[in-house]
Amino acid sequence: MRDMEIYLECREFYTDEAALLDNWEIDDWLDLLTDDVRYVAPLRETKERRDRAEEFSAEAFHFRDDKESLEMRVQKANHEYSWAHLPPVRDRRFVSNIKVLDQQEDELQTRSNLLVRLSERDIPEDTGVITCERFDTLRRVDGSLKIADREIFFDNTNFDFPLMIFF
Amino acid sequence: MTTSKMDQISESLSQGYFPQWAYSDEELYNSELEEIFGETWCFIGHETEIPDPGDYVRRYIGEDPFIFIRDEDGDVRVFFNSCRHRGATLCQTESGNASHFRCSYHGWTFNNSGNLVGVPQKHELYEGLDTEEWGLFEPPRVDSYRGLVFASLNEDIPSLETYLGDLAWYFDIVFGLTEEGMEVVGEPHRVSKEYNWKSGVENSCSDNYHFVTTHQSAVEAGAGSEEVAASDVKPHPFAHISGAAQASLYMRHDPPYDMFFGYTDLASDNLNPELSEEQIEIARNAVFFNCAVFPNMTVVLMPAKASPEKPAYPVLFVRLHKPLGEKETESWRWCMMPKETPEEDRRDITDAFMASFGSSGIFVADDQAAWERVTQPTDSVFADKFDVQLNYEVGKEEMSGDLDIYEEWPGPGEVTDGQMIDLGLRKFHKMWYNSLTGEASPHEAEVPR
Repeated sequence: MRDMEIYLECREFYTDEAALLDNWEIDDWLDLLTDDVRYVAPLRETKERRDRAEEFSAEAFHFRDDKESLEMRVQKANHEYSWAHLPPVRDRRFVSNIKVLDQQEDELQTRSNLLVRLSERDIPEDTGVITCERFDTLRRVDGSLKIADREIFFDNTNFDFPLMIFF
Repeated sequence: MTTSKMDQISESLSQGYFPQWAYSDEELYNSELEEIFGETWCFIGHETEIPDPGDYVRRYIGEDPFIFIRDEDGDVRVFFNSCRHRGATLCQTESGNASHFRCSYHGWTFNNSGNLVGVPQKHELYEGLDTEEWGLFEPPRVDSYRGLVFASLNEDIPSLETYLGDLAWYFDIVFGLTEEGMEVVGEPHRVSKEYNWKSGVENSCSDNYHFVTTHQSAVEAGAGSEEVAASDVKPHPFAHISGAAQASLYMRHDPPYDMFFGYTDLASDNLNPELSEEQIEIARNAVFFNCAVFPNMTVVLMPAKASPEKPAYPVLFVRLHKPLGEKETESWRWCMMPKETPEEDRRDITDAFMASFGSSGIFVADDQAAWERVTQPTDSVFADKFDVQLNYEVGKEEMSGDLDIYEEWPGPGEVTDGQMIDLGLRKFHKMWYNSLTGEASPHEAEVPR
């Protein structure tokens, strides 16, 4: 039953996290991250084999953020004249395929799929869908789970959308 | 191209305007693919992206697919990505290492020097085939400068160095600053958006005017660098520079100050002995450089930060605005740094690049938003019917007075003394016009001041 409790706790955490980001409560989302958080997404190229080591870059990242740079991104996104966010995209997240891979005393390692659907302006065909696989380390801090580490592996190699939202 | 369209455009350009409809006109776009991307020097990549024999990446001239590869002899080659037999694309992967390319259809095989080395059942089916006539096609001209490789479909084009003109002298300072020169670090970032490629290039034609409005949110969030905003830093856009659509240098005017664009000790300890006194003098006090190489390649070297508390690092990036259609462009961005950069700084420089100019870069995202907005009304009936003109008049005598030329400039070309001008944008339009009409070469473009 203990394993099922941990799984359900993770699922609740991801549901709550997605709701914060879907509702643009991005300052509150920052509180879900530890102060030493690492938040990264390596670039991907089309290669001969489906092989993470081969397809994903060791040097180039869509973002390689810590708490300070994420705070900078949130501050920019909240700015009255953040043109890339005007008009704001209507994004909605679907977290699924959640798996608790491992656990230690105060940390868990998880895997999940994320699907974000984007609706831009008033043009239905601007709808975009971005999908990725995420590997997280969640840490228990004062009784609540927080994200200490997140590695994101996008399915896309290139995008028609600057990655100005959080995944 | 219809004469009347080009006559209309000529009239607009002579007044310092640009017709709104000309951005996304379908006929013009198709002419651009043939007359501009099909005739000029087009940026392919940097030699350091393919360091070892067999290393390859896929690149483009206009929208056409090519393989950029280092062959077994160590030479940089560019091949049309199309099997000579029935035309199937040979290379399906973005990058890798290959000694040969084998077509999936009938098995014709080419080595990485482009020679046809394998034809299944050749004796029975193709006995009379002279394989030397059936190697992979190459653009008639491939040339490089400071490791930047360009290709042209025009076999009569002057050499790349001639084409670059004065700009080559500045490329020596930027790409040849240190003894070993600059290298690409990491794969290019690629983000497409609904803007016309010309709108993107214009941004690097010394459009200093846009900075405070477009980038306000990024600067106020702490991504901007104090170095560029220092009180003794002055922008010096070029009033005239051969070879580029435009270039701009920001200099500190309180020497001695070994800035070297922010590379400081890394540059002064590894300074390229080939640089002249004048080149070093400029590099020593330089804080920022940008330029636009016709048609669609731009270079930016500026200090940037990964987050407000971190120090600023010099970020050099090359950008290509790859056309995908009249109203769509894919922006490619390569991060570069001196080969001598120590390990502990490489990560910091890459972090600064990604936060500002990568696919989630908070500076470039606002630029792309602006270009998208510029592109939106361009195919309107209104713009065509009422011949709507867009304004590029800054720096014209009646707008900004006489050009304030900086007389003590030690390098080639003519720079202004801290003045904002649209002269580079007007020159880019004239280069574009010359290329489309064939009336003159793009580099003979002169614009009224």
